[in-house]
Amino acid sequence: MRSLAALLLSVVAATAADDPAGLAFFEQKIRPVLAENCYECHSAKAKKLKGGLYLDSKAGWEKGGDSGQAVIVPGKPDESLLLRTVLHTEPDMEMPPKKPKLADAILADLTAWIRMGAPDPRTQATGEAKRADKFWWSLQPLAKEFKHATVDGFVGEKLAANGLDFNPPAGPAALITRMTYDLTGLPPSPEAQDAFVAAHAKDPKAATEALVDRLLASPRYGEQWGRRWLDVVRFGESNGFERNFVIDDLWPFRDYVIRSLNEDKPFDQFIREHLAGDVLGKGRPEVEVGSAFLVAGPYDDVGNQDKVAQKNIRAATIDDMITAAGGAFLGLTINCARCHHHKFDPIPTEDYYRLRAAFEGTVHGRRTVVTPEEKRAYDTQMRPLAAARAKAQAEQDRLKKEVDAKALELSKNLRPKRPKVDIYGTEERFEAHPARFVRMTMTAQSTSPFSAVGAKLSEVEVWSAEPTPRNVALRSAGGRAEGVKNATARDFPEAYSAVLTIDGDTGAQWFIGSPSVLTLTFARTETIDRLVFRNAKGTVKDDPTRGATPCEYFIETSVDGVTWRRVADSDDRQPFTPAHASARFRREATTPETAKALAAVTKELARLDAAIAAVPPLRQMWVGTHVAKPEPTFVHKGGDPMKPAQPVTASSLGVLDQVTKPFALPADAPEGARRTALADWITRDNPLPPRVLANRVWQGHFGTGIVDTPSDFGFLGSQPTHPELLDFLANRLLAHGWKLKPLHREIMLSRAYLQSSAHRTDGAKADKDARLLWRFPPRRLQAEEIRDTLLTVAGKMRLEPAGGPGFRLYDYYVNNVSTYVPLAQHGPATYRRAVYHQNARASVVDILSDYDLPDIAFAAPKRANTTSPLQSLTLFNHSFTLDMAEALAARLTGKDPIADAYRLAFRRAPSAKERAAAEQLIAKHGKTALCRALLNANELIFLE
Amino acid sequence: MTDLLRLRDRTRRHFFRDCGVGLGSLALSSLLAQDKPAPSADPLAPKTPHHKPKAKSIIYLFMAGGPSQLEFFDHKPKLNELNGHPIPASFIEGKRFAFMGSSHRVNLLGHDKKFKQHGASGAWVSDMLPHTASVADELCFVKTCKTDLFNHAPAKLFMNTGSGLFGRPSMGAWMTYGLGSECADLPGFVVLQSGPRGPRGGASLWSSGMLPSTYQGVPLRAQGEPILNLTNPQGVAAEEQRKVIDAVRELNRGRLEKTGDDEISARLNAYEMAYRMQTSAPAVIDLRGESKATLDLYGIKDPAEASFARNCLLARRLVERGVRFVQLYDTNWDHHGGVTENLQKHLPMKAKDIDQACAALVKDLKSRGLLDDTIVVWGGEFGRTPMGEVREFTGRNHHIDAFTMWFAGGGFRPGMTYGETDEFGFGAAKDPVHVRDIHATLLHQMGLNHERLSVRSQGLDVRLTGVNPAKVLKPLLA
Repeated sequence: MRSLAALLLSVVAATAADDPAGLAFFEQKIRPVLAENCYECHSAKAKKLKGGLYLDSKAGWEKGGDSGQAVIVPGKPDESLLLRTVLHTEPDMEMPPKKPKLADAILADLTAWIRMGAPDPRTQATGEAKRADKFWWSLQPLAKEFKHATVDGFVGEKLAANGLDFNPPAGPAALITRMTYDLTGLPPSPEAQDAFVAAHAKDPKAATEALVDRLLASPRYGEQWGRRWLDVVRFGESNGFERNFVIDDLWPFRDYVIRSLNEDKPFDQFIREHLAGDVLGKGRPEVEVGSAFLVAGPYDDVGNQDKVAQKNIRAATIDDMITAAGGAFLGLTINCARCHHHKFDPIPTEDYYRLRAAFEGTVHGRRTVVTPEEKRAYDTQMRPLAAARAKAQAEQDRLKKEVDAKALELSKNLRPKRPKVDIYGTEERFEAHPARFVRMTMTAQSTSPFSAVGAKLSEVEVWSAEPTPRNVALRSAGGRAEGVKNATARDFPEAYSAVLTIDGDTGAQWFIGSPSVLTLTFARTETIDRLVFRNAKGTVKDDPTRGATPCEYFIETSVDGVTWRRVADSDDRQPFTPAHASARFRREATTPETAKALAAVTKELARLDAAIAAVPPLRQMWVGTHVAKPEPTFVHKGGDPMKPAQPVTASSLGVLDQVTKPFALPADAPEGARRTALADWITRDNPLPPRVLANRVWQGHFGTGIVDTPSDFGFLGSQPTHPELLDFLANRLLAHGWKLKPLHREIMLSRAYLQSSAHRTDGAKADKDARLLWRFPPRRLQAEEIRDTLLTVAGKMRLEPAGGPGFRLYDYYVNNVSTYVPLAQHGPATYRRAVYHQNARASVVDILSDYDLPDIAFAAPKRANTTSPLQSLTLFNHSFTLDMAEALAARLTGKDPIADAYRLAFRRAPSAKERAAAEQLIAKHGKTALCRALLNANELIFLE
Repeated sequence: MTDLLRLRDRTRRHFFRDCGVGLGSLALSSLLAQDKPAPSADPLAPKTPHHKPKAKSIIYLFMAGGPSQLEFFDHKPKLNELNGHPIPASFIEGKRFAFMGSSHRVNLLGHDKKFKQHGASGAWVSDMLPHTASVADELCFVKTCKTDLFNHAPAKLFMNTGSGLFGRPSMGAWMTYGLGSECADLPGFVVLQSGPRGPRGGASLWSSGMLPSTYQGVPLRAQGEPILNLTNPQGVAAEEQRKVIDAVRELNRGRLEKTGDDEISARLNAYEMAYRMQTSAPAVIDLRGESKATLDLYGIKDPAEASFARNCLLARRLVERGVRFVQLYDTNWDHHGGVTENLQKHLPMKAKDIDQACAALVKDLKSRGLLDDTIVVWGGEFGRTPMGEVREFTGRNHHIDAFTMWFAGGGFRPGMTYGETDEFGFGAAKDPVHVRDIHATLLHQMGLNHERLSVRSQGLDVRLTGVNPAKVLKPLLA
């Protein structure tokens, strides 16, 4: 009876709420009261919003503030918190605060207004929140009950509400193409298509289900969906920034992602492994490698002496981890709270640093990642070898010491006639004689009495014997210099070369290689009497040496380059160091027995070194290292690491405290425990990851997510087009135990997915981008899919090896900093799937970058989709396309090459008009020209 | 925007973008007009600016390494007077410098350059830059530029992208993103390089960052194909090239009729543009049509040889054709005092490399009536310290507190000197100008509001001027 009364009352209230008289009452009596007494703290214009409550819109009081309940219950003054606070009947919540109670007349008006159903016309956006609070949609627990039991129920409802309906089903050819690309990133083979079309004719449902199952089981599935995930986690294989060095051992992470997807590893486990695989799977490389996620982003590796710069670099490095984890798993831009509280989402800056505490101990770099068995096997092999080597080394050292002691004794008798070599210029004089060639053979350098390799010379001069001597060696005088160098710079051929010794400038140096011989040739035979060589750059005496200098040598000259005479040497110079001195007497000091023993032990050492080198080294991976006891973490005031404020410890984000079980670790919590705690918090009863993940899956299938900002579910992100559907999918994902494949299957067998992509005027008018799915939204293939399609159609794609070190479509030059030059010719070694391309940052690779392959400085959860003339130039003129066109042409060996070409490229027959045009083109320019045109056609790279 | 402006905008767009595409595309547009708005997928189509622009192109002469303002523009007699004496401690307390503790010195360094005031404006320019001095009345000098970072690569990134971190869009990318390009058959943002190697920071300096990759700078190469994949593939004759393009067009048109998808029409146009670029890009670098007088003006001896002077002339030819943003990098401006990088020998060589061409560019643009809507910017990533550095020879360290840049054309006030440094040229005594202010001002002149030109990335509205305050430098503007 009572409930009936309530029902009746609410009906009355609803009527009253729309009643013009009621609205007039609101405008005259209520709005001014609210504006004058409440807006200061409870409106979008409030300097600081109090209690999370807005009273400047109907939605505001309906939603309530931090209490989470409506503050006005229409028709029920007694149950309305707002009224109790202004009546001062709610303890400790007297409103307005610190002001006298409102006049009785006002209170009576408010009571009357609520009783009449609280009519309120303020539905305009002006009164809406300018930021999200903890009641923001994405932060709520997942809905558990739904109106519909299938994807189509939700989509269909929304379509109907907009006066639209699904398109008819897509034809079988379009369907197999769509599904094969979607799940594998490749076109179906013509044979597979024929078979499917035939099966579809018999039983469309069974054929389609079988197709989805076959594709989900294909190893190509992990390559396609793994590539999508790698975008999300900003995976790139160079460190970016100034030097941008290639990272050669991050590919195991890429393989791990592909493998995990192919195995359909539950995604919660996958996420946990990303954050703490090294802890959870210690000694299991296939799990440990997951934590490479933490260090897969760009980081500044340029050491800096400056403390401030160091701190800033470290802050940026950890920020990358926080940003990546926040975006990929939670769809939150936690990074925005680095310098201040998040301006739009309920994330205080303290929470940012609490998250930082979890990553505080993580450092970029590589380490050995092996199983205990591998380690044991390695040790078993290495231990005896290392022991034997140590023994042999000791023996060699003992013998050498013995010889050295004797040699030192002998060298004490040495009475050198001339000073030691001078790095600023050493002069050798000799009797004037004609010569055209001078050869200087170097046998020792200042840092080693045994070899001159690696020493440097900046200049060598040879002077003529005449009243005004000339340096006849100079290049400018027609001289030549030859000698091996031990360093190269690929983009600068003359760098480090011997010719730098005769350039008349003491700047650049020759880096001496092996054999350490410099041969100078003059323009003509000259009478010479002097040679000067320098190691130093410049001539200022107090400047440090630049590298080691040759200090033992002999000089020969020749007129014809055939017969040589020795004109000078360093034998009578003071040895550069005592070690050089004793080395000279080593031969004398060595008895035949010692010589024999030395030779034997040297041979043994060489044998052992070879044996050690033959043992495969333990596997290293770029998975990062972890400091056991990280530095304490502080809030940085204004994001400035030089302004540490209060200390914080690893804990969860406060805004979800009531939704999922929070954690807060003590300051001395072990490093690994911080990341596992975070991983557990993210993957246990947290509504964000399943929502975010379900949305990514949807985006993969339809091109656009239910939320169009896949890594931002906050206030600045977009709102879901189908909120209930999103929660429904998230629930399905959980019901499937976080496995993706069953979810793919559900989505792909829906009417929404199976419908045709045909254009419809009514649909386009109401919903241009087909977000409501009145048709299947067509899309352009992505960069990798385009390239892989060309390879496949041309019959050149090598699907194996699936994994392992990547290939490169660029030449990599490194000389302090890195340069990436796209290859002009790709060649068969690169004919692998693009997911295996070594994706260095800031390495523009025409065929991929032009088609919007992101330069992965940041995560790219959604790819750009542009059209530009550079794309066309590349696809049209690149030798790769031409190579593929030739390969495709070579496949046209049948009686009807035009039909064959259309079948291989588009899996259909040409129209009569197309056939006529193709015949003309072939007649004039050959089959390759036709193939080139087909490979550039939109039909090849647009998916319907 | 006034109606007149809108009309001009449309006319120009029509002229540059639609003419010459051929009848095919006209037919196509009418076909499209049936049930859809015109294709919007062309990311470089001209866009409506935020406000009426003063300039439509920028030529940015980037002296990579950090040229010395004290040898060129900022005349400080006190430096010579107190040569070898330490700078008062109050200047350097709490400051940070690159290479601290090695070759860095606190003693002031004088020089033997002669400074004179030039032109009616009386701008100070040293005898190292006689040609620049001769156009002083066209230039707007800013003596008090200030940046945040003192190592080369981060400072270059900062000057170009407003951030020292890697991965942000560069100024040229922002401009083409905000304005599109008025040149359909050349890229909207072109990079030209001279000097012994590329600038530190490499392709990141002209990156599109989180903007679509279409907006990245396209390096015009000095040798071989000027743009990658520009020329017909080897062994493919011109006729075949055209025939295959036609075949692609027919295929796509058939497809368009079937699907009605506007993205396809954008791709159709892209092929036409690409085809035209094949002709226009080589034509733009072919200097045979330039008179001897012009070559002499720039000091170009061999038109085929890569040089800064040649790049200046190319820059003029590019903006003439409607290219939005041309950036010239000239490297090796890092004069610390080493054997290959000192103030005695190498700074004069660099000055000689660029002086005549910089002045020629300003003169040439002016005489062709292009200077009014083209901004020329000259500057490096930072300046050099008043204190000397002693290595084998003498030099100066990196300095971020005050350095000189100059601007010309595009609504900048000619014959102006803005900002004053202290007696040693260490910091701003009056009117400091931050890099962000320069960015805001350049955007403003191009018709863009630096607070409105943004892109959302990872929850942040990324802008060229970042989150710190930036102001348009009104006093510099005519």
